Amino acid sequence: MAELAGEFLAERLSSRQLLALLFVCECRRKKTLTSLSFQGDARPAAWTEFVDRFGARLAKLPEAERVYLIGSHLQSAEEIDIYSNAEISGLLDQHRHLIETLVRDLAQDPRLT
Amino acid sequence: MKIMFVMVKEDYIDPMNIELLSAMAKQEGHETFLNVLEHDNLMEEVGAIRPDIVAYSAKTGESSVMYRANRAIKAKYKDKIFTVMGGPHPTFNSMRMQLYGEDLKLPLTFSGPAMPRVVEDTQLDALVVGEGDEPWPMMLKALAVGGSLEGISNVVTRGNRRADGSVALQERNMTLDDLPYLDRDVVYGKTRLKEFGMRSLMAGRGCPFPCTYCFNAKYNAMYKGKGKMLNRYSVDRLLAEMEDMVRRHKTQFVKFYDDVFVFRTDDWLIEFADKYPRAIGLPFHCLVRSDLVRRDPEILTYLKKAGIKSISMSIESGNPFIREQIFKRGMDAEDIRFAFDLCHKQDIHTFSNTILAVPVPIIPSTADPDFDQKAKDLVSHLETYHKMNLGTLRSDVDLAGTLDQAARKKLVEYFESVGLRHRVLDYDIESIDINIQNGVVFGEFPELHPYPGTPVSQYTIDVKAFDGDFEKLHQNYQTESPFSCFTAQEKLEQVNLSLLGLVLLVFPSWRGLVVNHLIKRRWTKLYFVMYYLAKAYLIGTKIYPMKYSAGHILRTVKESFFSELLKHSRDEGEKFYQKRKGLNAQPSEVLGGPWQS
Repeated sequence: MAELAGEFLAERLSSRQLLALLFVCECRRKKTLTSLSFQGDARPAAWTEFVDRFGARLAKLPEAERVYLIGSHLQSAEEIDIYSNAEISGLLDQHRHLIETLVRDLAQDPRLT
Repeated sequence: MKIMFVMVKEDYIDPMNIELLSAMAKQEGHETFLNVLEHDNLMEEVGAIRPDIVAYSAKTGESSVMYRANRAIKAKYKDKIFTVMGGPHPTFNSMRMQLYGEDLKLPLTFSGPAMPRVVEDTQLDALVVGEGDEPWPMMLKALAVGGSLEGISNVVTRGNRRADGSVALQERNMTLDDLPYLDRDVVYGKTRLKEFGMRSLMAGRGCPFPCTYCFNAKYNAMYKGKGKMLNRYSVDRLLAEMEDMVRRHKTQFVKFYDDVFVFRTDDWLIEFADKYPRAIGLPFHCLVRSDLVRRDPEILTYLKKAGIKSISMSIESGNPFIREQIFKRGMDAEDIRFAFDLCHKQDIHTFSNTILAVPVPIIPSTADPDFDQKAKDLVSHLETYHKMNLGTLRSDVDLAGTLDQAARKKLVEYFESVGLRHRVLDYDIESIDINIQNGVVFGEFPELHPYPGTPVSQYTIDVKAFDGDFEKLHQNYQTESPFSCFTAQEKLEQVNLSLLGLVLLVFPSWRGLVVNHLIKRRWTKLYFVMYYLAKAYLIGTKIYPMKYSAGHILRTVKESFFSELLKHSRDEGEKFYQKRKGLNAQPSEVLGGPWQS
């Protein structure tokens, strides 16, 4: 098993991918996932508020620390076992399109460069 | 078998480690006993009880006291008594803890510079690393029939020690409901906790956050891939144990001691808020994080519904540079403001920890002839050590040549913007101020002390504030800082502020008097009395309010005053031994030999 060899999928994700995944998990928990809509340049208010909330605290951290901190929130508030490759790949596969959209949006955010 | 647990001294918090291990041992049919070194004669009790096993659970600091106790036992009883230690100290230091009959050679690969490289002569027979839930009963079963321990995961013996210092670990325990109820009787029979109205317990285990002064980050790295990090009792199992606890022990108040009690509003919290008032109905205290409250404010609504009286939310530093770059707290001032404000609105009394005396660079004075070099060194430190992106600053200021006044001004403004300050004490005053501004009801202001293996210890060594000699540390966090970067006067002011900080939460209007005058005086003993009075008042009336008879209050005040005084003495260990010598110990009978005075 990959986990036994110390190869964790979550550790190969960027902070943007993890932040997008955290947002997806939060929406899933709040049952607001289906109401999200990216039409043209319009960003869902929940996404804007989420990025504002995390953007400020992540802005001053180097990439490795961003990854660790977002991972902490995934494990605690969302109860995701980030060291279970099956769980992480399942989530990434299930929400691939939305996560890619969110990551593209984050790439434009100067706070998270 | 007879098992004797040994702890150094009693506190007002249940030693849940011993209570759980004792319960598990009783479940296996064994008898358990407790010795409290603070007031029991160890060798006399060992002689009277003749235990088969003596067991310790140690944090770093108290471990050396336990070693002395163990060396005395092994010197007299040799193989007749099996001794074992678990807890945080062996979990992170097993590779340098020499066992009974072992000639330990330190592996070359196990540590960074923050890990002491001295061998500790423990004379223990075995160590338990990480969670003991499964290894402990397996170990008892094996010992009961004279079997070998060498194949049991998490257990280190002479026979199974690996050359590289690593230890085979089982998966985390993810079925806490299967654990027995804590055996409080073994502790209450020997301590004042029986008469104390507050009972402590944990609803779950685990914390995923990377705070650098805490062992959790390293612990989580050890257990990476070995099961879910956060594990909780079911609400029904938790409440069933609490009902049993309340029925059997006089209880007025409950303290949930989880690192973080709840992370979000989930089914567990909703069920707890619904059932706890009916099943238990006692006021309680728990710990959460400000950023989690801001992310999910409903957490407080449900805790309030359950009957929460007071809450711990650690600030750790009011200074953003310390909070973010050194402690890696991952929360900002707005998280703190939001969460404390919400607590006040919900009438939940707040308790916060804030760490003072952290080695941090200061902004060089523009009048300093060496300003240019110092400022450039500081920029380099921020970029290389803290990995901060200073691209904008570098494009604004030409750091290659001599700095003119405009460049110096820009540099100072930049340093200030990231949280650096001009004087050492400015950082600590900022930390006191954030507590006052947020109306924190009760606060502790310990000074930073490094412990082996924590990232912040490595930081203090890297910045040459600490020489890595962990042996000179002791358990109290409100004595003189161990860091060489502070002057004697700064150390005095830090100690004074760590005591007067709490007084300022009661009398915030004294802030100017304290900060500008009182902390500079050598009146620390007076400040200790003020600290004690403020603490007794706030703890007794706001944080853990309970009703007692006048006699009990007088006894508690006397005991807690001397307990605090002992904690604040310069060398707690030395005082402890002197006290024991004067009371009931024969020099040759206690802790392995004559007292060192």
